[in-house]
Parts: sequence; C-alpha cells; structure tokens
Amino acid sequence: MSWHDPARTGESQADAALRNELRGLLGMPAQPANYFETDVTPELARLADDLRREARRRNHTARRKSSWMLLAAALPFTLLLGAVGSFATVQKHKADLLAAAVTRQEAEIQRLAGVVSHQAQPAAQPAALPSIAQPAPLAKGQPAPLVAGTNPSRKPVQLVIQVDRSPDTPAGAQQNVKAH
Amino acid sequence: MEPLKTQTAPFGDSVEFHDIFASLYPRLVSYARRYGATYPEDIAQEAFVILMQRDTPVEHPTAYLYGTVRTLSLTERRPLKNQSVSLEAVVEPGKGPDADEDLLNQEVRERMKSLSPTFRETLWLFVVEDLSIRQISEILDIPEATVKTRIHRAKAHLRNQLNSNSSGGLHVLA
Repeated sequence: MSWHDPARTGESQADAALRNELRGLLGMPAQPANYFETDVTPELARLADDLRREARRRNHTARRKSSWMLLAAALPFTLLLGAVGSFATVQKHKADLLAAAVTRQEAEIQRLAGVVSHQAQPAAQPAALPSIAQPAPLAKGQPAPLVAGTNPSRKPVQLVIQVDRSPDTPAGAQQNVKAH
Repeated sequence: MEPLKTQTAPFGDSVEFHDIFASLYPRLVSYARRYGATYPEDIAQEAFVILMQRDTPVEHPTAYLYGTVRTLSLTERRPLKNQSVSLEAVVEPGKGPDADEDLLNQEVRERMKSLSPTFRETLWLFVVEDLSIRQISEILDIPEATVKTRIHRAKAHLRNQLNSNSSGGLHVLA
C-alpha cells in the first residue's frame, strides 16, 4: 500500500490559492504551518509496529473466520436457489412436452377433418342436381311464367260461352269460337 | 534478528511507515477529540489497524484514516448518549475547544466559531488539516461540488464578518 496520496499532490493551483485566502481571512499565517510536526520517537515507532502486528494477527484470525461464516450463511440460500432452479427446469420440460402433444393433436384433427370432407364431397354432389332442375313451386294465385318455346304442342286456348240450355234447344245448337 | 523489510511487508518500508505514522497519528487523535471521543488515542490506533488489515489497497489512505476516525468517534458517542445529538454538540463536544486551543489562537477560534458546524467542519479539514477537496469529499462522504460549495460559503461568511467588523470600527471612530 502506497502512502503517497495523489489527490493531495495533484491539487490545482486554484484550490491552493483558495486555501491561502481562507488562511488570510482566518488570520492564520500565509504559509502552511505544520501544526502536527512530530519527530519519530521510539514510543511512536514501537506503537506503529504493535499496530502492524495487530493488523497481521487479525488478518490471520478474524478475516478467515468471517469468510467461513459468510460461506456458511450463504449455503442455505445457495441450496434454496438450486432447488428452485431445478424445479423450474423440470416444470419447463413438462410444459414443453405438453405443448408438443397439443400441437400434434391439432395437426391430427386437421388431417382427419380434411379426409372426411374429401370423402363426403362426391356423395353430396348427385343429390344436389335434381333440385337445380326442378322449378320453384308457385305461390297460390301467382300466374305461371311465360317461357317462350317451352311447350309448342299445347292446344290453343278456346273461349267457351255458356248459354242457357232450354229443353227446346236442339242438340248441336252450341258453337265453339276460336280465340285469337 | 528479523529483517526490517520482511517485518514491515506489505505496508511499505518501515522507516517510511514510521514517518507517516508519526505525522498522522497526532492529527487523527486531535480529530477524534474534536468529535468528543472519550478515548481518541484508541480510535486513532484502531483506524490504523483497520487500514492495514484491508486486503485491497486504498486509493487515498489519509482520507480513509480520517473517515474511519470520524465514524468511530460518532459510533463511540452513540451508546453513551442514547438520544438524538445535534451536529453542534458533535462538532463542539466540550473537549473540542481544548484541541483547538493547542493549534489555533484566540482570534482564529472566534472566527471559526462564527461559522455553522457544517461549514466549520469542512473548513477545518481544508485549512487546518491541509486536506484536498477530494479527500474531504471521501471523509465526509459527500460530492466534491458540495465540499466546494461549503468552502465558498464559509469564505463569503468570513468576508462579510470582516467587512462588518471593519465598518463597525470605522463607525465607532467616526
């Protein structure tokens, strides 16, 4: 670990000038006075070494224990996550299988429907032909449509005039008149 | 006898570490005392141990030490007074002025006291402790822009105070 502090040495001149200005406003000397200048006494050196040994001791004991405890604390969560993950994987596999089965069944149904409709089409076609040839039934009182040339051998319409037939009228006194 | 280099690894050269320790330890003790720590020496030593105990290196060791001392001092005060402590009481905890008396003269102390605790803390770190803005932002766990704002507001307050004092003096003379 380097004790060299780049943030302090790389300070801008504006910040240094601001510090000097503030020193002036506070009534402190312009030049930074080292208030904490201390010689390295044997007591301080011994204290520094003691602290370093304490840090090394903690590194060898507390840090390792904490990592084991952290690992032990994380184990249940890891197991739980693994169980949930495997359960989800199994469920996903089942869902995929069901989806594939449904797709197969739909395809089979469509294929059968195609076969049935193909077989039913020729049987239905002859039954439909007579209904096309027969004319629609006429409504009551509706005159029959005149179709040109439909029945050329039909007898001509005759107008029949009824007369009173008295007993005196001889037979043959009736005359048929052709209608035009 | 164990070689000095091996004994000091991995914390650098022993002579360098002793110099740094001798320079920083009294400052950290004084800083802990400002926060009203009952045992400021223990807190400063604990901060060094915590720093050296780390596996990963710290980018700014000085700022890390100051921040650790601040946290430990505030934590030490918490169980002693199980009640809400104002920032004024934390920064000026009774023993704090003793620390200032060793370092600053009466005039400087009076001007520092005129500032709010928030500005005074930032100004103290910047001017008296001679720390950079970036280090202060790490110690107080605030953005650098906030540190600059506090410093400039403290500066404006000090300037206004000086102007009012000088105008008041002229008025008295007149």
